[in-house]
Amino acid sequence: MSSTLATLRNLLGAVAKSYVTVVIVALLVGASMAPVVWGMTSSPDGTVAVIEVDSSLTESSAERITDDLREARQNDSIDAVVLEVDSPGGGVSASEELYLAAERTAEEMPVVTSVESTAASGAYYMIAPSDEIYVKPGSIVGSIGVRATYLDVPPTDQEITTGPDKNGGGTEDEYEAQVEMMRQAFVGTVTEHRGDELTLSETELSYAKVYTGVESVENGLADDVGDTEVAIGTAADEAGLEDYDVVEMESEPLSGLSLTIGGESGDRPDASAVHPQTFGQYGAVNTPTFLALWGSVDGERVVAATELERSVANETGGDRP
Amino acid sequence: MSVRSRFVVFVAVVLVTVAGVGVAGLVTEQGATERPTVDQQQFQPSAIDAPTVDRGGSITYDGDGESKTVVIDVAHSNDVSEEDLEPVVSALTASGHTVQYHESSEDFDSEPAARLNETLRGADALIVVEPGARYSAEEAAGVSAFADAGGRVLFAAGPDSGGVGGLLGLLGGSAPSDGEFASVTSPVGIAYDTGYLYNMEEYEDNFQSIYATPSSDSELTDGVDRVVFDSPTPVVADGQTLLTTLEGTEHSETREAGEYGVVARSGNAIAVGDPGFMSSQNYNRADNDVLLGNVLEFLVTGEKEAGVPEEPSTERDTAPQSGSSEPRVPGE
Repeated sequence: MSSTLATLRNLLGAVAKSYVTVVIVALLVGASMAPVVWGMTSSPDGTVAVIEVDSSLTESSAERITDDLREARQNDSIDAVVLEVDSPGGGVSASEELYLAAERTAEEMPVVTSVESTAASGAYYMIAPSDEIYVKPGSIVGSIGVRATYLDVPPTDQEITTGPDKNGGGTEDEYEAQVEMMRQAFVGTVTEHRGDELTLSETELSYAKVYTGVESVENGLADDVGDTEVAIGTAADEAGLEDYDVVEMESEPLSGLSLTIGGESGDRPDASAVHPQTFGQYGAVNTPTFLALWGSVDGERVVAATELERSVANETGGDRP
Repeated sequence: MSVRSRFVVFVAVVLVTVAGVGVAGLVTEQGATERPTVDQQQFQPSAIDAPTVDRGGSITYDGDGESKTVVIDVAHSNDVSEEDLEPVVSALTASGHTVQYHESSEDFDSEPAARLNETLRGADALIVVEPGARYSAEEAAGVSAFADAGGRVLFAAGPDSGGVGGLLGLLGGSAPSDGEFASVTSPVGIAYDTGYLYNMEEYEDNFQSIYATPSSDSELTDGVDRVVFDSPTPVVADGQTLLTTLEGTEHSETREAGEYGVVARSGNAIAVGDPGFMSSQNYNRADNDVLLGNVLEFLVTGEKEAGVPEEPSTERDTAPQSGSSEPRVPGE
């Protein structure tokens, strides 16, 4: 018995000392590590995140987009962002919030915009800090301006208030001054980020015209003609990625508000579909509101505008010439 | 190896492992969570000019010592509210003048021209603001005769005057106003343009709140440095252009830049391109109060012949008196 064990021990010792055994064990270890090494050497250099902006800009849609932008900044695997934009703008504060988030992101990584159909007013506010803005020939960009809308406010002589402006919030002059100050911030932002490319003066911008893609490339509101694929490639180039993945960040389940742009209201859904507060509709309470929007909102009455292109607004009941 | 030594080895291995991970974490530490700030210069209050509205002053004017009767026409669907004319009515009344409204008859009015002429025969001045209905030829002839006889007339209308303005406005454009207003202004040598004026370079608090300055020396512009109009419409007269907009003012329809006349005079009639300049909201902006005082003085210092206008004739003659630049006020 003991001799059998001794023989077995000697045999195992010989096997352990054999080169063949060493090679086999080494192959097994190497094979187990190979996928990791393969992954390290052959996977993409990084990731380009595509964030879709396809609705009017409300506090609700702005929150979703700013969350995506924050995720892009905090996720080490994301190296560049492409904003895929189709929006006529929306609330002034929502647009400003998106601008701040976009610029914060652009300070950390390349941000490239692809304008699908429209990047007007507040939507252009947001994309102004992009490193590159691509448009299609038929895209619409521009409408750099702000307007204050006014929904029926009860006159103070029908109730007791503690001040003459408790209901209205101020006089028409004061609203005009407020939209003027918002215009200055908006135009200042556009010239800050696009000043080197723009051929339009601040005054010309303030007309709040919209331009086609071709026009916007010529006047500097956009950089070049291109689609989202081009924008992704440029973003990757600017991030120094030879090989990259593309991820589409989570999109909002609901589409944006239904807005009537230059046409009749028809049977469109109510403008309060997603976040009516942006348009001054807080349930049973309506308030004046400030919009950086190209297009009109059902029931809107414009009290002051910084821009000239008001025919659409007048369509829905503007009482000024 | 004893149990004790094995336990020591176990604890030592655990400690070394935990310490190693801790040191690795410190070495590879990636910094703090971001604490963003908003440093954009264009968002700072110091970078934004808050527009201010220059308000102050009151309407002062001198009459000729007589109490005059000023008629305000509200019989032509005039788009005028109490607030629009309150400063005018108050200033006239406070100086002892009589303000009379010419209203449309509640019953069927077979002879509106006769009623208007009857009113004008007892009046010294007429104010017509934003008429929404066309004047008949007989009514226009009566107003023209009134002005020719020394009666003072103030026309004031903006770009959306005219009976169909609202409907056309809904279709996205400004309505032609002079189609309605011209029926009464044209016979006295005044024409209103369509569209409104704006200035993208120099404005008060909005591109439509624009300045106008005197273009000629006149008693009507005496003491006026600049006035503020809210999207006025251009006016032309066969007499004198009194106030023009600043260079660079543009027309909403033609988009042409230039200096546009917004207050003009033809004989005993003056035309203003913005009725809002005399409203409660605007009368004391810039020098609007000075201009309004001059206008009121003009209205109450006429010397109208008695008995004019006469009963309307059946002759329909509303041809504009273009080319007639003769002053209609004796001694002027």
